[in-house]
Amino acid sequence: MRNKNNAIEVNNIKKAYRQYDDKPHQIKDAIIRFNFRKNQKREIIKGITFEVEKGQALGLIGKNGCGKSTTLKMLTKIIVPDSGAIEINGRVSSLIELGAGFHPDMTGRENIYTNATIFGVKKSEVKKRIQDIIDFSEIEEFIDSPVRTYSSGMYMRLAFSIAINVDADILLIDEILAVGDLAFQEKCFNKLLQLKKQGVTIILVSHSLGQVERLCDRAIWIDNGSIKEDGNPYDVNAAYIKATNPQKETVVTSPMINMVQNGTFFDLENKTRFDPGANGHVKFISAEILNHSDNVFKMGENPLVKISYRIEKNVGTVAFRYTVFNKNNMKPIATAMSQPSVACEIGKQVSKIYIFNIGILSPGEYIVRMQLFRPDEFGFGTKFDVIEDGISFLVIASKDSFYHLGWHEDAWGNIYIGECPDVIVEDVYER
Amino acid sequence: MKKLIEIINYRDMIDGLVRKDLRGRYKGSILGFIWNFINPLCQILVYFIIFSNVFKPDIEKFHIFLIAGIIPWNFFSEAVIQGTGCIIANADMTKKIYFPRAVLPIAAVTSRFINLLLSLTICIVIILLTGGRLGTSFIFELPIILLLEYFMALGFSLILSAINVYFRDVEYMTSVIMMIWIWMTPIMYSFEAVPEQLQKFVSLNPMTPVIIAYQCVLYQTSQLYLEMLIYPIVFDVILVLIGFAIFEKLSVHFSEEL
Repeated sequence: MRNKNNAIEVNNIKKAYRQYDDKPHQIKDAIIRFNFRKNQKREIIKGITFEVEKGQALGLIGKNGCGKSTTLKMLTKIIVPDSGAIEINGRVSSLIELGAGFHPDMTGRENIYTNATIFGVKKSEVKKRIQDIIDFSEIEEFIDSPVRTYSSGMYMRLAFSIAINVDADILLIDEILAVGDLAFQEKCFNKLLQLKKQGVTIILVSHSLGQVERLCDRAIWIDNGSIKEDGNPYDVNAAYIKATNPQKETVVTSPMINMVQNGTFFDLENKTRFDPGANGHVKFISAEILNHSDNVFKMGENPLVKISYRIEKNVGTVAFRYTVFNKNNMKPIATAMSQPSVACEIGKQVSKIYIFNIGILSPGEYIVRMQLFRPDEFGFGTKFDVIEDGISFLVIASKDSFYHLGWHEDAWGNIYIGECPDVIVEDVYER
Repeated sequence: MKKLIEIINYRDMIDGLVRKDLRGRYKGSILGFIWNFINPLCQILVYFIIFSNVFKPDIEKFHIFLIAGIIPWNFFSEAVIQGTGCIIANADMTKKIYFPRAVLPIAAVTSRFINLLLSLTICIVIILLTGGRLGTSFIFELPIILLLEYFMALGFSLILSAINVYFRDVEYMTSVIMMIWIWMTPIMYSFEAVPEQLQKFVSLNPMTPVIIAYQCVLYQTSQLYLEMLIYPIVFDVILVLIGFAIFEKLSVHFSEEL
């Protein structure tokens, strides 16, 4: 160790994997290979050097196959680097693969013992912590049933509880925080935050930049086997996002614009309808963005949209509703509804101009699901027409907004509530 | 040396794996643990009936002679076969978690060893009930022989399990070799019955003195002399040392090969 305050020192490690078309599991293959084929080696890690201070939480980010998991595996000693040195100061626990070594026929309690000893914990130590483990996993009543009777969620919860309740100075985590339901995930995350507070050094490999920003003091972006960026998570994440998703850059030239050439007029009449619950008594004809030359809006803009529909049957009243979806993950973000209006004259074509209050949306690509319906009494509604991809649009921001940080969708969501105003200025000095 | 201390630190894991193997093996079956004994007992019964009625060996109390050889042999053969496959069988764990890899073959052999101890206890009861007798010195002699056999099985398991990761043929080869090996060891026949020109060859087999020692103790063929055990002791020491060396060398790349 060069520095006593370091928990981990990694010095110029390199690793190459042999690349097989198919592994030689038979002696015959091996002989053939030695004679006729040179070993093709693929360099995965091309010289990585970093140090982690005690108590620091480090996030490793990067594309799939960039080498971050391999780096983590080398820290756990599962894989040995070809060259370079790794020094570790303290006891390591890894949350890489959960539930490895569980025996399905043995009870949860028995498996806690076996599994914890695999992590190198003494039996006497497990005895002391077993109640903590059971409490954390929230499966008290099933703990003496065989784990094969567990649901997959219970199985993972038990495995996670064992791994996280192992006393360790250094915790290595690979993309496993997606355990159980949301409440349990949050509990796990809070446990990690608590461990961090206690001074545990954490290394987290994650694709969720949000998690990295919440947990880590530092992030390293690994690209193609070497370190591309190293610094505070916000800067590193921003650089990473910029490099991987060029369309999210706050510049107007996006491929999205080419997708809808004419930009403002959307023919809805001939779109495919997917919702079998819509009875078609009122039908969309078109949607048109009015005060704009295309469907690219600056942040804060609230465009006017003209919606036209035709009344096929006398339905009494009709209301319009739209839901904005994030185009990347197709998650709904926000919904707006209109007042009902009369729809009695069969065959009549109605056009209404609505203000789309989408100015709060962050930069990104969106799709709008549109719906015509009638709100009935007692909370029941009748659906007339539903179009999943009614219109699509792009929201952009000027380059210097958000303090030059860019918008981090994974961490911040899709709505910019606005600048946070201070009302009372009061400086308090605590003694 | 450092590796050895590490393995000792993981003794609770060995303990856990052995328990898991012993208890998990027949879980769900009605007879459960008893299956561990039904197999060898049936084997002895079949051999006994066939040998004493068809081949008619001139060995008195042939069933005791059979028990003294087959039960220890079964341990050796099962331990080596299971030991050979143990890394592959636990590939999942090996790829994902760090622990001294030698724990796996040690646990596999130990689990079979405990099974041997249990079957031997039952066998000794059977021997005593059916007219056999045991000298008082067997209390000291038996543990030595047991340990000798344990380390022999461990040595082979270490070497074979490590090579098996790279060439899966080894696992199948081991089963075949074990089948041949049993007939090259004086288990179904006595060493004296072997033609003189072949005796040298049979005594090269390191399992021969071990099995003969068992027969001395359990069947009381003759007094057990320490000189008989020198060859297997030397063989064991060399085998285990080489075994650990090969295993440590090969185990570095296990997780990449699996």
